[in-house]
Amino acid sequence: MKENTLLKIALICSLLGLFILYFISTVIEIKDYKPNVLSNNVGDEVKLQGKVAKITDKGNVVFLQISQQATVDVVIFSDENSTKLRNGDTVEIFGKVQSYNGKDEIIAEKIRVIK
Amino acid sequence: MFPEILIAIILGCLMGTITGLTPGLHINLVALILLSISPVILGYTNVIAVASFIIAMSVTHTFTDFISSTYLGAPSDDTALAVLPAHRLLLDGRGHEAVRLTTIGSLLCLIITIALAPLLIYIVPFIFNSLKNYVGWILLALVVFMILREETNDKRFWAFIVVLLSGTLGLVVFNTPNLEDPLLPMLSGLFGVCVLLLSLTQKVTIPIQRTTEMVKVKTSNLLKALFSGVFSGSLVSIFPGLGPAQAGVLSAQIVRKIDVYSYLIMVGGINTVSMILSLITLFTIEKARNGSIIVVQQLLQVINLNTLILFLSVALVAGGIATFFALYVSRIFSSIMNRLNYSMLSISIILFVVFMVYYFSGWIGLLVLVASTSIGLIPNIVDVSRSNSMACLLIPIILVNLI
Repeated sequence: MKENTLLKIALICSLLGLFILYFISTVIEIKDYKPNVLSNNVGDEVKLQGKVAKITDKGNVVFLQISQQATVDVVIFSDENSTKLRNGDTVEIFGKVQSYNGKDEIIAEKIRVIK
Repeated sequence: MFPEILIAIILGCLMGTITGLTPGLHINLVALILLSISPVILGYTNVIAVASFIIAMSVTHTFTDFISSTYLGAPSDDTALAVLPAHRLLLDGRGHEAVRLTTIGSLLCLIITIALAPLLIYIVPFIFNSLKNYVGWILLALVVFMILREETNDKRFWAFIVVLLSGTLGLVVFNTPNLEDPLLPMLSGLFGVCVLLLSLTQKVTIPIQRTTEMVKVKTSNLLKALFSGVFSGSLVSIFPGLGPAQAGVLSAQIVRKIDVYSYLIMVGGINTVSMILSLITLFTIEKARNGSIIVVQQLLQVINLNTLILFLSVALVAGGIATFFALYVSRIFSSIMNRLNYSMLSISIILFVVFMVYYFSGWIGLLVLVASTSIGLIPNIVDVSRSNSMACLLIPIILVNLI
């Protein structure tokens, strides 16, 4: 197959694609999207990696926000490990997804600082 | 929304060209980076445009990643099989022809797959269900066949050793905890760095590259290649764990009489087909089979028929643009190659690969790179086919399926 023939096919292919695209884009509707990674996993054991974005220490319980493509709320019932966490740490978390007051969060069972 | 999608496609094609040209950069890695920055992009535009960007980028990537494999001898796992024949054409002064062939494969297979989409929506689940229990046995037979294919008993013995070593390497690498992107060091070593090292020691000089059109592929061979490309690409997108490389080995055995030119067309098609089909499987069995499509899935959660048609037309447009980009960039490479010192180029690529491996996989990655490079040198020394090294991916999958 000659290069010119190939380029012609490519051109036709693009034009055809644009043609379909033009029509289909008028009928498609866009949903507002807010990434919620957890909603499909309520009740599952999960492993999660991400950066610590916010720490709220309430003594016997520590709330973390882990940033992935969206922030994920993590709850740790305190042990000495969690108090060593700092903002910006990359952590690996094992835990269970739970729905609380309409929000999904992970109850951490194990937490480990990677970096 | 049309203008937004259009801009997204053009940006995606440009980005895909860059990622395709970067030696050793796999599309899954790019997808991962995208996933982390997608909230930022979503601030400026809508989710459909972002998904179109990702699809255009992934499709273009499957067109352009053969350029770095051909001219620089640095493969990703999707192109590992094409490196050797493409590199041979390069040493023959016909690098551009090799890229032209893989581009023919990519574009035509893309068109065929999209045309067959209405049919594939029904066939895919059927093949998946009837074959899923036999994947291990089929691949095992394939490995045995690869060994027996060598000409003499002596070579069969060495092929067996290579299979054993690469298989063990694969098992170790996949079971090493905390090793990120294990494929990068392993395949760069087995198929990339060792070839570059050999060309350094053998003082290979790259002849003047001509952008000729001497290669003529018979229509019957072209059809055979396109058929195998679509078939192998389908296998990849249907079966988890089966990569383009294994499917390619499988198809190459089925259509064994295929010549090296048709082979390049086939390999060029596989990745593109599997990318397109992943979109279809996302719609039919709601399973995303590769990294960038997983990102699309995360963004959209569900895709309906209209969205699928939109994405397929995005792929069609991107495929057309990617063809122009791939051939254009290949011509640039062709003319640069004439002026480059190939030894210096090889050394810089090896250093670049080492840097990439260290950056993405750390010290353990470098260790894997050394081991895989050493194993990768064996086929050359004992003169058996390098595709035996593909056992590094085949053996782990066989064991997972049979045990």
